[in-house]
Amino acid sequence: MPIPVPSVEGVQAALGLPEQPEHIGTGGFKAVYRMDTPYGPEAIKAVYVPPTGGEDEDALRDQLIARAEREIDALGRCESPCLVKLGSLPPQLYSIEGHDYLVYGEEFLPGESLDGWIGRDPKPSYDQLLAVFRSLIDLIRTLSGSGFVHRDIKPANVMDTGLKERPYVVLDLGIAFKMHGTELTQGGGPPRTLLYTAPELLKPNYKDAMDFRCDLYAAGLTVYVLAAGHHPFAQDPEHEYATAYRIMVQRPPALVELRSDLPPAFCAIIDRCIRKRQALRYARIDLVEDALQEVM
Amino acid sequence: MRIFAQQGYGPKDKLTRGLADGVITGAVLSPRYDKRDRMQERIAELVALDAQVLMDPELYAARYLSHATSNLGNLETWDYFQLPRRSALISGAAIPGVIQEALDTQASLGLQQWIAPNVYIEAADSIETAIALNFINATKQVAVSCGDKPVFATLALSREAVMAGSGFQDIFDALTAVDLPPDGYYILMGSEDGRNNGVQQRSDINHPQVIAGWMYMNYVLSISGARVLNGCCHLLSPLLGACGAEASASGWFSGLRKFSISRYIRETGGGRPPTIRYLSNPLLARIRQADYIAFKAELPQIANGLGHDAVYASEEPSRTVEALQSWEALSDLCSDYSSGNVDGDLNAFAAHIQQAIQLWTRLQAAGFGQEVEPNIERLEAMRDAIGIFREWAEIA
Repeated sequence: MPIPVPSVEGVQAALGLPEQPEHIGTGGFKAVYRMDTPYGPEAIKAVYVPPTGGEDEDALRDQLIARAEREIDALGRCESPCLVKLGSLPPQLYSIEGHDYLVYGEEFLPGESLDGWIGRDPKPSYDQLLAVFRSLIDLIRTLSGSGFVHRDIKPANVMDTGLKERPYVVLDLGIAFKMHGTELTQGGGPPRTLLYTAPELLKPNYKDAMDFRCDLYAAGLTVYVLAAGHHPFAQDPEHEYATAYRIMVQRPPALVELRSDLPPAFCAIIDRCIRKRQALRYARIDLVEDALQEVM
Repeated sequence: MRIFAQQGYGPKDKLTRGLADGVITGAVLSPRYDKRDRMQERIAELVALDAQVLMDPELYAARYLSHATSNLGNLETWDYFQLPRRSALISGAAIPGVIQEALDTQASLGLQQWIAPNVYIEAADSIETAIALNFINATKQVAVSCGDKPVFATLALSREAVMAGSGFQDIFDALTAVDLPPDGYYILMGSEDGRNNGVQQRSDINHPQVIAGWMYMNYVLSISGARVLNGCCHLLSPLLGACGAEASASGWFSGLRKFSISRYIRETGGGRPPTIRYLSNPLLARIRQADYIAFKAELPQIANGLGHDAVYASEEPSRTVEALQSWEALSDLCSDYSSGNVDGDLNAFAAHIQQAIQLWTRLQAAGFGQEVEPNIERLEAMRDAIGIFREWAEIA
């Protein structure tokens, strides 16, 4: 469902900003703007909140507000240099151009998403792939330590910031899942980004299987795709059921077969992260870190 | 991989001689065969020989406590050997207490490594599976409160549970995610064929899928950082060692080489003492002493070339020597296939199986046909298991 995207003038007026923000993107129920603050540039996120009306509309409205609030809460509780931080603008409901939006600020990160790396020539180096993977593992450790599963790690959600101390940062906690608690997604449906979804999340009882190993799979697959230059399960065009089938059944080629220039031990770690069965992946984050330590 | 003795009835000096000879490095003791005082003495004897000593509390057999024909031996003399009502196990409330009693007993015996109790899993989708997972979940935490020695959680399951395929694998997706995992697992694979004492007959354990499942357990648990000890395991030991097992235990009667829950029920009818046999690594089989002499005359390479071979050259040796020869052969066999390179070790053992099949075929051609077919069938099951395991473990 396309959302009404507020104009930059509308956002400026509603928030009382001294300068006009810059619209930098729209996705899902969110429009994102860049603005300068006394603390530096920030990303303003305006989450569309449907109007009140019938029972269904009210339920959706409540869910979206709750989801955004929980995402904000989660971002505040998960301290990792590999995860985007909250900005100075606290979450608040605004009426902009006749529609309601929950608006809040996140830090603005320079650079581009890792989507741009896929298929580029030359392919990412070992050092780059290792740094991306280590950042993702660091994030997964933080999230799982706080009881969260991200569920949407993918190249498009990872920023190549160019910053020395935080080279790769994950942007979105929008579909994260709180273990032993309330889920952050709207309605708790299966994850929406099929290509990086772990096989167990495509099963009917996916909630029973959800733990950090789903994120480990997505992190491994992200690195695999960046290294190989293509996705091992996706064909274009095809029906998503066919892709889902491959995700669940087809074994990808060993990474070392596609990138013989990479250390075999590193490739083996990535291959293990994307095993179909959770039991065949790493059972604990420290086992991944130990394996990486041996490679390095 | 290490070879341990699996204690059964009539150990005499088998354990101490096995340790002194260096053919075993530890033992899994059974409270079914020893009362507390004797157990304590035995532990002291073995520890003095630098053995790794563990005691299987065998609580999975407590299901037969009120059975009319139960055959629990000394188990009923041990205070910990009782199960609360099933509803208390299902709720999980009673489980920490049950574990604690068993571990406290082992601590009081001076054991430095413990085996935590568990129930027996008949089917992958049964309530017992959920109860067993609750036991495993609670094991380490209780062990910490009992003095925090390394603790092995028991995983005793029937071959039927393994035959469930995907449902069986689901257990391990859950098991490898427990918050506080035990240090290791003590695995018992339950045969449905416990009263079959015919050593050469194929047991239902010798099914490709069952063997593959046992290999899968060893692989998944060991790559997850757990130590894996297999009980009542004999000629499958090299396959389990290739898949990451730390140790396998085997004993001097068929019931100590192949586990069956039905052994805790009294058998009807009698039996005859099993024949003394020689474990031939090249043949991957236990053969009668007379056959050893005859086969060796035809194909000298069927002998292991190890220290205890000489005892079989002229006459049938004692039961003790038979146990020592078996452990010696197993230890030697497993050392060739537990390098840590799973793929390479499995390839090498597959080649060993193929050579064994060829030797049996040559024996058949030479007129020794009696035991050839069941042995080849058994070896083919082992070979096929490697393929199934590779598929399940997503290895090449």
